Amino acid sequence: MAGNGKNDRKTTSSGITSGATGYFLLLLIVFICAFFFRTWCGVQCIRTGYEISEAEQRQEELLDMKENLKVEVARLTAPETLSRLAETRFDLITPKPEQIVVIP
Amino acid sequence: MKWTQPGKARINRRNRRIMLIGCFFTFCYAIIGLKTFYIQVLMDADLSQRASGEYQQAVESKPRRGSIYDVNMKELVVSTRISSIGAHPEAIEAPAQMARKIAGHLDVPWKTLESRLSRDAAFVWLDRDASPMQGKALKGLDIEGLEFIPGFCRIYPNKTLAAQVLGFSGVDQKGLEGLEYYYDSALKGNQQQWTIVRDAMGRIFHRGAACRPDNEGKNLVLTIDSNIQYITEKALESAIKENRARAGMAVVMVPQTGAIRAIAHYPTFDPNDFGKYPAETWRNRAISDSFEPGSTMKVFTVAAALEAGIYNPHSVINCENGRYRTGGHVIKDIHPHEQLKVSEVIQYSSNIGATKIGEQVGGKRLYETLRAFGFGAQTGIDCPGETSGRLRHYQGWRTVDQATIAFGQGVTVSAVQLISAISAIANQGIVMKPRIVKAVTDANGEVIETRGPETRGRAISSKVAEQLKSMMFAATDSEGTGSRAVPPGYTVCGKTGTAQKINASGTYENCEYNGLFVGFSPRQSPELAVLIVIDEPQKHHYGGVVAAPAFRSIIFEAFNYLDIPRSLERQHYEVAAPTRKKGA
Repeated sequence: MAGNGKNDRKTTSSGITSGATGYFLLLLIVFICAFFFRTWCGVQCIRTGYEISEAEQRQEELLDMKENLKVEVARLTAPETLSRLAETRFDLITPKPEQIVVIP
Repeated sequence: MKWTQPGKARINRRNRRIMLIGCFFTFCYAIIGLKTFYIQVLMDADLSQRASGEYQQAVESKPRRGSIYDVNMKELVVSTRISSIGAHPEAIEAPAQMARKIAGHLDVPWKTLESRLSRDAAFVWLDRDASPMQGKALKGLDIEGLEFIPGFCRIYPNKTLAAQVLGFSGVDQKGLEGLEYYYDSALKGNQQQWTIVRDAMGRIFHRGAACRPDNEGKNLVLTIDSNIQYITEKALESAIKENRARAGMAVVMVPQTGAIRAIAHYPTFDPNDFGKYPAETWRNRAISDSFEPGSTMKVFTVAAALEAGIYNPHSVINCENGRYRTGGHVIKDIHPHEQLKVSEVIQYSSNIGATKIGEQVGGKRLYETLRAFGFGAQTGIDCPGETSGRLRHYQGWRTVDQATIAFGQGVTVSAVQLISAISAIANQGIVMKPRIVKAVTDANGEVIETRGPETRGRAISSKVAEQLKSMMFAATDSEGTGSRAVPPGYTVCGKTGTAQKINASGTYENCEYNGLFVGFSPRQSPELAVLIVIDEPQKHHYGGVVAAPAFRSIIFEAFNYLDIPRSLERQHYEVAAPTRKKGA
């Protein structure tokens, strides 16, 4: 019985040790995973930050381009420009009142 | 098995060592913990500030100045981004070589650049309005001593169109004339500040919100219609050139709402390059200058008489065959008349008829009527430098003053006052406040303020307004002084005016006149009121000859553009009248 008791104690002692080690390893893995996840999040955050920054810069450039195009459209559709083009390129004239006949 | 004594002692020693090592590590961890506590908690604010100072940067800049649109949302003024490029000459080696290098990317001759770079100054401007692309290209050259300052430049894409109304702003984006000056605080917005976060490489990692919408420059939407403005400017220019006049102006207004559709001046200027034009061309003279209205004032004298019930349109006035003495002065008519009806006083523009009507009305009543039409006071139009004209109090009038004021001498008005008063006749006697800004929008185009029509009061009854319309209609028939103002297919109510100009010493010039025509069309439902003032015409000087054709041209083309159908309305109102000479 004494021999059995000794064997039981050994079994119990190594069982507790291997169980604790298991838990410890599990915890370590969780911590390492959390650490990597946190690092990955940080990297993603920085990368997204750069992307947002680039997109904002691009947006500003596009807005500037839009403004410049608006100016160009306004220049091209200015009454004076249209009138000049109509007269010089298409030989059009504004009819005088006498030249207009109203068809009843 | 029992433990032996030496074994027990060894275990105890081992335990003590473990305890010692444990204590040592605990002590180390405690120190680390304390240090962490000190850094993270006690020094938190200070260290955070020091760290952020290294990678964060506060940036201040002016927002984009708001745009100005016409009534159809066509851009009249816009801001575009530019790059102002400067240099620190002491940091530039070999200025000549550098100037050639830089000149390849800028619209500035290299000689000019070289002289600037050779100056003994701490800082010089190389190009204050380079495009962002030019700035980027120069940055790529990585030249030491150059400085790039981003900014905005004001563009007027229609060049001279409505230049005096819009005004202009300076290099620092501050409004200097016209609406740019009047609405400067709304257009410029507020200085904005934001934070840039940079990484260790100096790259921008994060930008704070660049600007709040309420900080951006507001946009203005005007009542001006760029097409009608163009039509008006062309007609005015043509009238001035044809009559070899010194200058001129024209105003177009919607009588029912007071909305100004066009304000034209000649000579004009280009706000993109305003420095090249004389300063007197910058002013919005339709608002800021006053002139004698001449015979156009007779309409208001007759209005006072009709409103008071002293006369009706058919009352007969003795016109003394062209010469009438009053207050020690002789009043003359260009074309003598024996007797004229009140309506014919307008139609043939009789000075003596107007004088006699004025005498019957009396100074007080005439003064009150003119004030009710808005003369002698600012109209409140949202433009800078408005004049109130000159209408002295009736108690200070001499007999001759009352006589001359009745036909438009001894009183001065602004163009906007006169068009506003005539519009009241078209608008059943109600005077509207002239307005030039229709709405204010934010940077995203959302309307934040709308300006609707405002009534300034009733000047005359609607019945009298109708009677005046009939008289003004007769003034543009084939026998009236304003017959040249009528385009085929449309009816016009109007009045001509010819006023001698006053020189610096306060006396009338013999050969310097203003020729005027003011009226509205169509008669039944007036769509537009137009005033034309031709300053010092050389060929002819009568308003009916120099100004009326411009009115005709504006009405015809503007109605064509507005798609207002022509009618044969005049036939229904044709007034039979004896043949007389046309003129003043």
